[in-house]
Amino acid sequence: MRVSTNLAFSGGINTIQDVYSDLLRTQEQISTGKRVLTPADDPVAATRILNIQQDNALLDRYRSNITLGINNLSEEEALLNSVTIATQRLEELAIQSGDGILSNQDRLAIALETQEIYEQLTAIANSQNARGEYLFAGSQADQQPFRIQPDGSVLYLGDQSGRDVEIAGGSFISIRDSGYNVFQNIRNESRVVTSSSNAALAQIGAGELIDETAFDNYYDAFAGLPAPQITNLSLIDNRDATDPNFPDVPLNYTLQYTRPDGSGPVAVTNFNLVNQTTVDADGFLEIEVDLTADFGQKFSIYIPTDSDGFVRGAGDADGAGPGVGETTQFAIQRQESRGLLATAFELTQLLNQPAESPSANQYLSDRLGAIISNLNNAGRNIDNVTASIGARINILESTDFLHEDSQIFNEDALSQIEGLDYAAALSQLSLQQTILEAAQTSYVQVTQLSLFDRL
Amino acid sequence: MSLINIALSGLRSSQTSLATTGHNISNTNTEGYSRQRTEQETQQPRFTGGGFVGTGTRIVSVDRLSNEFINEELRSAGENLAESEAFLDQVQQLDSLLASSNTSLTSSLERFFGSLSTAAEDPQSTTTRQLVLSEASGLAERFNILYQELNEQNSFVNNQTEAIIEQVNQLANNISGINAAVATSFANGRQPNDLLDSRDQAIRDLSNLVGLSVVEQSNGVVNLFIGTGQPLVVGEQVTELAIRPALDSNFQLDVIQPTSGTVLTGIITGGELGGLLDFQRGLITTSLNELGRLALVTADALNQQQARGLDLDGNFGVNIFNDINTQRSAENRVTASADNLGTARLQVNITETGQLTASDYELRIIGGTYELLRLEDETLVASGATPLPGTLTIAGEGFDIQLNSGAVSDGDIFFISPTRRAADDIQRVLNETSQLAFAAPLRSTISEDNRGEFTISDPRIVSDLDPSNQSILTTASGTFPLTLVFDEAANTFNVTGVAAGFTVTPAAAPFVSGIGNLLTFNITDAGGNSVDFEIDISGRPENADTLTISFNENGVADNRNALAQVALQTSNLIRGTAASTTVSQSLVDSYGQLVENIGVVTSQKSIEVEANQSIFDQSFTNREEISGVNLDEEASNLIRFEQAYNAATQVISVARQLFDRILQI
Repeated sequence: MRVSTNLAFSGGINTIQDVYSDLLRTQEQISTGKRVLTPADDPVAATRILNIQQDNALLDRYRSNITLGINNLSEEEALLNSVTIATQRLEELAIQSGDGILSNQDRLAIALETQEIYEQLTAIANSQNARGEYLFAGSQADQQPFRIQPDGSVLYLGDQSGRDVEIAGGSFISIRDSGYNVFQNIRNESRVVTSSSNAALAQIGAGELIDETAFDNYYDAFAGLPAPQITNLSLIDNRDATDPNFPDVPLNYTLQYTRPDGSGPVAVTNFNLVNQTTVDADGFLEIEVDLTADFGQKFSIYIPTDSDGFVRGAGDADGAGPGVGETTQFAIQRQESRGLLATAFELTQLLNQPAESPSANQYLSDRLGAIISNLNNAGRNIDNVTASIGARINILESTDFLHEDSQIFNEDALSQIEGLDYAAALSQLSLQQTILEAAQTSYVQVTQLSLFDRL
Repeated sequence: MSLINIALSGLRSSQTSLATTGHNISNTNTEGYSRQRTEQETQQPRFTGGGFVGTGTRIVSVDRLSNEFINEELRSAGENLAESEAFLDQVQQLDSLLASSNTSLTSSLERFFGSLSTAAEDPQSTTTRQLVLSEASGLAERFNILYQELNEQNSFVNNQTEAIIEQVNQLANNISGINAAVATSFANGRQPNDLLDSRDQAIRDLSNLVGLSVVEQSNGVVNLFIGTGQPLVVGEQVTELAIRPALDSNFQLDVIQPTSGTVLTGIITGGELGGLLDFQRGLITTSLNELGRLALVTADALNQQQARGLDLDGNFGVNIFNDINTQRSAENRVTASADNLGTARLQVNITETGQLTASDYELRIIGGTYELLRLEDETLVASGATPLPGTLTIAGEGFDIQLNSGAVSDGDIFFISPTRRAADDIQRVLNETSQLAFAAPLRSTISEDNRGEFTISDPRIVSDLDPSNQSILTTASGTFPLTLVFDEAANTFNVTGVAAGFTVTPAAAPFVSGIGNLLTFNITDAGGNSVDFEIDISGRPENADTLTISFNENGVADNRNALAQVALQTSNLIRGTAASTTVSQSLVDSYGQLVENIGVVTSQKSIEVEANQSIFDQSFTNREEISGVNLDEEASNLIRFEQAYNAATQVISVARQLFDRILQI
């Protein structure tokens, strides 16, 4: 083959340039540690790299959400542990105060402690996190959720929302529980609250739910009525106040109730003067009203005796002195749930009332029974929420492990796809270096050959 | 004939050969030079009685060693190499621009949605909200920067085109000049070696600029054609090229021949110009369109999600990014051809970003009908009789064409590019951190007086919201709170508390006790505006159990709408292909596909350049083998001819001695 001088020069230079550019590329790969420098190097790998990087970024984000979630839930769990301890203490105190030998002073002392616990619980329910958000306010976290009313009771102003965070693609978990779920959504054991129109004359116990079906059937009829749905029970004292022997006359009562829609009155026949014969010695009269057939409830009414041991009049509703047919009214309001704070407040209120008289004492233990049941329910509810927090923390942790594994897999895949095999690259580099040096040396030698030099 | 004369002929021949060798040596480095060689022959012998006696030598011709086929091969290899190199140069820039982690859109998208995700975890915080706004700016700016970079590359291509056209015209004129000289030489029966070399070189230079077909005629004249056979140089006649703005809102240039009015842009292949035009049409505009589409989808999806949520003050969210259908951008999407006779002024409004393609469109008015052509796959997407309706809805393509004024006339052409400039237009317009709408507009509450055991989800808005139906949801409208009351006998949840002027359907939603139920309701106001929302209810409600759905007043810590905004990152928002209307790609998918496509093209082109380079090198070697100067060879020739010259002078000296002897007798 005939070789022109031009070709001898340009051919040599071209080869050197090619080897040089290969060398630079290998050097760039080594200095970045990446095999794929631009998508053009390996378009398929480049797309996979983008996908894996996005996946990793998402996993980072999920894992940071999980960490925050675990922090939030642990914080809540700690708070709820305090709530459980406080609730148990309240229950103990409630049981303790039911002891008949306690004096008013003793109960006042207990009431001081229950008041403390009530305030502590209110403070917990209104806790704020480091950012100043109220933890138990649902989505209205900038407002104090449990507000103390002028009478000392509390009102829940939050809503029922939790807060979800994304912990995996399309999978959310709630990292917060609303105050409603923790403190408010607690079953009221008797499903009613009762009150008396004249507590000095006659008091009504908390009631006892005997037949749920009868209760439900009764209220099905008033489904359309707005709350509060109140059944009014009336106790009518039929003794003749004008009788010269009054009050030493035989006891004579009738009972009736009006339904929440105002219909009635319905006469109550199934009632029983429990201690009719020993009223004098007992210091009070207990009337057991059995409304099981009507709406599944039983109530006790406690009427104290006067200093002479006689049962007092049924009342002086008209203000003209006690008379025949005087009536005491008892409101029986349906209430399905009773918040923990409301129960705690109720307990303190109850303990602050003097209860030295036998009737008050009897009434106290009746009420305490209901409060203990409700505290029990509250405790169970908190346990449920705590269990659910535990379950959620478990899910968060196991998801985190899963994400960690995925990230390790991803890193592995990434290093396989774009990572550089340093051993191979370095030996490649030294090979290319050798080739370049050889090419340069031979180029110089070959181009020095010229016949003109010998002329 | 005397010995002196014979010797003289040898002297002359050797001189010519030495001169030719000198010419070769001097032109060793002249580009396109073909080495020359003298053709030597004995002179006519003289007949004597004893036979023929030689009379010396003469130079018949100085030949140019070159091979037409190899020259043509080298020219066309150069043409292909220049084309693929020009393309590769450009596409490499694009490749690293789109894929580099410093400039890629992926990282900006990831950062923006990441900031939203952080904010979703802490929706009340001003700090996290501020971060969302900063990242929104970052995202918009990234779009703007990518647009500007691409636009600059586009301008560069345009400037190059302009410069190349000027060089092409100059070279064409050169060649026509050489053609004239060559023709004269040929007519005189002479081969103008050096002229032919410089013409070959000029043609090769021209080929590097633009693809040619070369036709040589018997009279030595070369005719050059470009495109699909449009004349560039015919004999001494040059048809010059020129440029003018193309019908695509001044992004590209058209290459034309002004004398005939032929548009060559689409048919030019080969050379640097072919590569640049191919790149511009194939990648720059599609990349701009693709980016624009991403910008439109991003802005629209987030703005719409904003409208579905409540900000910290309880107002419905306003746009994070600017409105996609401002008057200016809607008008910029249409370019009317300068040749249009009609007076119509059009604008294009985007109606459904999920249906947009990255293609451009052309609206043509032909013989009393209008036709809308999707240029990417040459598909007719709409047609009808003129006049153009006030609003022409192209539902399948996600936009409509609005006739602002005037009327179209036959032969009018409008170029429509719904997405081209959108990546430049996008910007963040929301400045107030509190206005990020992270809360959902409705919330649900279970009554504490319920007797049954059941759970409910938060209500979810299903329909798109805008000011006309947002008002339905507010407390001021009086529709909310709505109460759902369970009717045990009918097994339905009945809607109560509907304010006058509103209709809720269904008024009684069927419910199956014990399992999960999804209840969907529609609220319509007197004006016909409506909102759909749904709620999950599961469990066993008792008769008359109620739940309340109310406006999410003061829901500052609610993050549901923020989560919905985060979900947009991975949602399918973009149409997969022009052929199918299915919305099948997420933002990152779509961008990833763009990057991959460009990566594939870049890698193909670099392989092509390598292949073309080796073909070119081979052709170059082939040509050099025949036409290249070898200095060693010339050195030996130099010695050979010098010796011949010296020998001839010795012959003269002998002749002179012979003559002297005779004189001495």
